[in-house]
Amino acid sequence: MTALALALGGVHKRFGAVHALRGVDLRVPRGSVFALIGPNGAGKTTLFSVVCGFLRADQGQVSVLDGTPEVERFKGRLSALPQDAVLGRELTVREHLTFLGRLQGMSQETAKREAERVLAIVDLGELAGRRAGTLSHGQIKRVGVAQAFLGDPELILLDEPTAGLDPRHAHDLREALRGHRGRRTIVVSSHNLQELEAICDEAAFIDKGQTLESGAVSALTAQDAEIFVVLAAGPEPIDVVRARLGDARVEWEPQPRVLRVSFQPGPDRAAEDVIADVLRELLAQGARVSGVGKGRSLEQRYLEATR
Amino acid sequence: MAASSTFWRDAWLIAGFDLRESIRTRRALVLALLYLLVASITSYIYVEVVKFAEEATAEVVAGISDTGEKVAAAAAAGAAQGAGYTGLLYVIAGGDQQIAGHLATYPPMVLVFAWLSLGALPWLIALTSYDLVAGDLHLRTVRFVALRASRGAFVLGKLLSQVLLVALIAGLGMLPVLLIGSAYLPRFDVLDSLLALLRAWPILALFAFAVLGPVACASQLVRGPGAARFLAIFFLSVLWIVGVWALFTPAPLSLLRWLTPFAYKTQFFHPDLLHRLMNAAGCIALCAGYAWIGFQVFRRRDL
Repeated sequence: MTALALALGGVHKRFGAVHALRGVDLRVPRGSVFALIGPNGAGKTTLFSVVCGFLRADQGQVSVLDGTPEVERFKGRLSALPQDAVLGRELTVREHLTFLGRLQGMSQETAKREAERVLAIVDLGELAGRRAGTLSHGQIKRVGVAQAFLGDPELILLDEPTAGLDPRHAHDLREALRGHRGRRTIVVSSHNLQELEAICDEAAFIDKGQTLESGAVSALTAQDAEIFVVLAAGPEPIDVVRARLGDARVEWEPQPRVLRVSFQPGPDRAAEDVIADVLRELLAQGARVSGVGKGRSLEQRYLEATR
Repeated sequence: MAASSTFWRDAWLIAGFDLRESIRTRRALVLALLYLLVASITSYIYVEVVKFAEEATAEVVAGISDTGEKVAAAAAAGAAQGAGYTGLLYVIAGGDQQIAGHLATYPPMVLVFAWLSLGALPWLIALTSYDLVAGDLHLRTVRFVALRASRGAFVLGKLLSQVLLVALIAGLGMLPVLLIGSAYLPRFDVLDSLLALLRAWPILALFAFAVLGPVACASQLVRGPGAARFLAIFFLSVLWIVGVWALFTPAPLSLLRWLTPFAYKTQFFHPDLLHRLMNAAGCIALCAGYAWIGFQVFRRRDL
């Protein structure tokens, strides 16, 4: 059985008349980079807040690092980038981070070293001596991300970490998250699904306060059970391919000119084998192939799940 | 035991950080300036009163030609002023002769400064510390700390930082007393006054505890700084009214005055050290009590 960093069962949270979480179920394996995907108002930030203990669930089970969400257990083990929290304005970035490091139990010296280390992750080393109140929105966001890496905690929750970052820093952050794969559990929420697909092992779709689907990204995007071929203008031998593949489901989307093939994977039938079969048949019929791939994008799956 | 030491360490870290942050804010500057203003005005008024008394005495004495009569008149004027001052001390002491006697051991200028500071502190604190928790809730800054320290350590740290801030600013307020006194009063004893000011300093800090209790309570009950400010001023106003009312009420209702910070002011000048220590403990207990009431809401609150 996979060890879990986070397990939520039937979690509800209401804010007066607003029912923000309506029975969320979530299982985040240890060591995974986990994507929390959903539209605005889906309940992602509320969910993060419940896991951190900022909000108390009205109903349901919440297990974080094998226990209830309590700060006494979290200290130095869990960190988060809260979406809309603001740092004090008057002290320097270094002072803020050193203070937070010390609250995690570090000595003054260790906390200072850690502050420099995490600032390097977000490329803010030069601004360590700047007052937090003088930073730009993007720089504040990067300091927020940096504090989440203080002490290399077991579980890191990042709510929209790349929102407001320029492309280069967003890329650097993605690389940093990728670097933690397998070592630390990271839960990320973002609207950038391409970004999530590139860095995450697992994902969950959340909408209207409910979990719609969750699992390994490869399974959600059917990487092993679906292939697609994009055809250029010319012959469309869809029926021939359908007849050739037998039990596989073949769909043709005329507008983007995409041929999709869903199949039951097996020891003798990997996605690569199906791609070879389909291409052979298409080329034999004179079709012009302009692209090939496996599975569906996370975005497509998300759109289907939330339709 | 380990949890307890962690709690105190966290509270102290939060207090130190918050103090460093607070003293760099514009609000701390305003508080310091207001306090300096209060101290300067107080000292100036005292100097003017002393000058007026001396001039009045000189005027009376100038009209007398006989040297013996002059001495007698000056002594009589001095005695009258002394009697007036003693009467004032008696009023300040709330009619308590022991306290009035102890008040007389303070240099008058220091006493006037300390007494007016104690009168001004509650309202200055209400206007500057109202958001000690509500401000962090409003901006959600508390979320950075809430994953690393308990809510109890957070509130205690914030409280301590405000007490330290008040102590710092009160210490600053002593400067005008020394400067104005030594500049305008020929018989001003700087060393004696400095020692008396240092005696008054912990009184101001300890009294700040008593005032910060209701203010911290208000700050934990609501999220918005505006609402917290209104509530803090409302609480202190109600407590002030209760304190005055209790003074003129027979026992046991008169004991209600001990639920207000204002009852502890005079008792800091009791001649008995144990009594003063009990009074200090009372201030801290009052702070803890009110802060605890607010904490019952804060500890269950969504951050």
